[in-house]
Amino acid sequence: MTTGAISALVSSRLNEAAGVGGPQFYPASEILAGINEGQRLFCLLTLCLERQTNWVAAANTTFFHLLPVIADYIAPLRITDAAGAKVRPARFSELWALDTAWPSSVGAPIRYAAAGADLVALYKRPAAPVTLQVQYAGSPTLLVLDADVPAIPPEYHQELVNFAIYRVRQVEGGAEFAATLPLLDHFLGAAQEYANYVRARNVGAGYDSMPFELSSFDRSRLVGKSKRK
Amino acid sequence: MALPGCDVTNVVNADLWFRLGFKDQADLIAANWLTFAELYQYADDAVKFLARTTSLFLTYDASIAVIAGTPAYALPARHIFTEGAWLVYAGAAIQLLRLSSAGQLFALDAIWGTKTGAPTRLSLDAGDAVSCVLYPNPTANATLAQVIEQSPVDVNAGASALPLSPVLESYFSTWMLAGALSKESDSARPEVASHLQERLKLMDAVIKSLWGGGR
Repeated sequence: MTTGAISALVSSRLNEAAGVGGPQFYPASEILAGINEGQRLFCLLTLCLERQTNWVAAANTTFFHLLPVIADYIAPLRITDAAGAKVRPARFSELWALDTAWPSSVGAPIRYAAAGADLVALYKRPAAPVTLQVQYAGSPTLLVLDADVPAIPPEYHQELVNFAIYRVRQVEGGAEFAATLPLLDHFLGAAQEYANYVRARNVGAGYDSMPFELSSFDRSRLVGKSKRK
Repeated sequence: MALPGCDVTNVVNADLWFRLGFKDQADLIAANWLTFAELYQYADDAVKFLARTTSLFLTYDASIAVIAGTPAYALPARHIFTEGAWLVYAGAAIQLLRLSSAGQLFALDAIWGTKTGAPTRLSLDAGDAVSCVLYPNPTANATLAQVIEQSPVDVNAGASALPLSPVLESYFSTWMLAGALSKESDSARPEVASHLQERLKLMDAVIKSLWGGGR
């Protein structure tokens, strides 16, 4: 579905036909903002957008921030060197166990440690600039035009309709807003389902990051459901 | 299609006014209910909360020059916690520093405060809350290298860009809305604010899962 088609569905389900002047109570810009927020949340919950880029790691440097060079970076999936060999993930404690002078050891990178929003440490640090291939979970590009197509799988585009309706009705509060909570629950259920698929896929691929276990979060209070006893 | 970074101003300028029940930004200002400074303050509260409860704002710091004979050093500005520390000596020799509490130092060495030698431990509570102490008291100059959790600069209208993935912009809009809608006023919508607090709990769990918990 295109963004325009999703917006039209949202308007239609809110009983606002896209006639002369367009939707009135729920402006098109709000619906678009809801679709974008929904897509971003879906990507964060599922890590479904797999991207790849070359990253030139500077010489004689151990620690790097990736967001300035990979603006849509969320989490690393796999880092490989120019020959295609995997630079294996490690924790800082493992690097200390491996080499008591790891922060200053010079050579071809064979391990990396990722921590925080975008901090990455390379072991060993390169003596000269080195190009590494980074596969990462990325954030989606903002949808702007009616012709733009969401980056999440097409079978989940309908969930953006659900999320956008839930979001635009927040402004009303009360029973009107409460009536949209099942839509949020549906959206989160779909994200959980797809995150399970991505997780299984990432295990198979030997990727280094897994999506959040949404099933471990009690969302009964979030979506207005009583917990079953 | 655009790809902005994580910037609180993107959220404020986009549609926060609509979600608060106003027809545009001018309407929000005219209502004299909520100022933009308050909205940015809510965002700053969110940043401070994330900085102390998660490892999002992790960075490498090598700003402290260790001088022979001086065991205590002021921590970097906005330092929250040290996750790892080591000394780098001239010639790039490295010595890992084990993080130790004052109690552990006393257990290790009853007169630890007077010992001199090559430091092997770093304590964040042997001195005051904004300094660290090396044990033993160093006998050679070096650089103290640390991986630290650090709070970013205060968020306001003039400084609103954050070193975070843009997918987290909605965290700040959710926090601002939850705060504004909880504010004592005729415009309060406590049921929506309460729901948004639950949304934040979900986001907190996701953030800790993906990027690590805090101290």
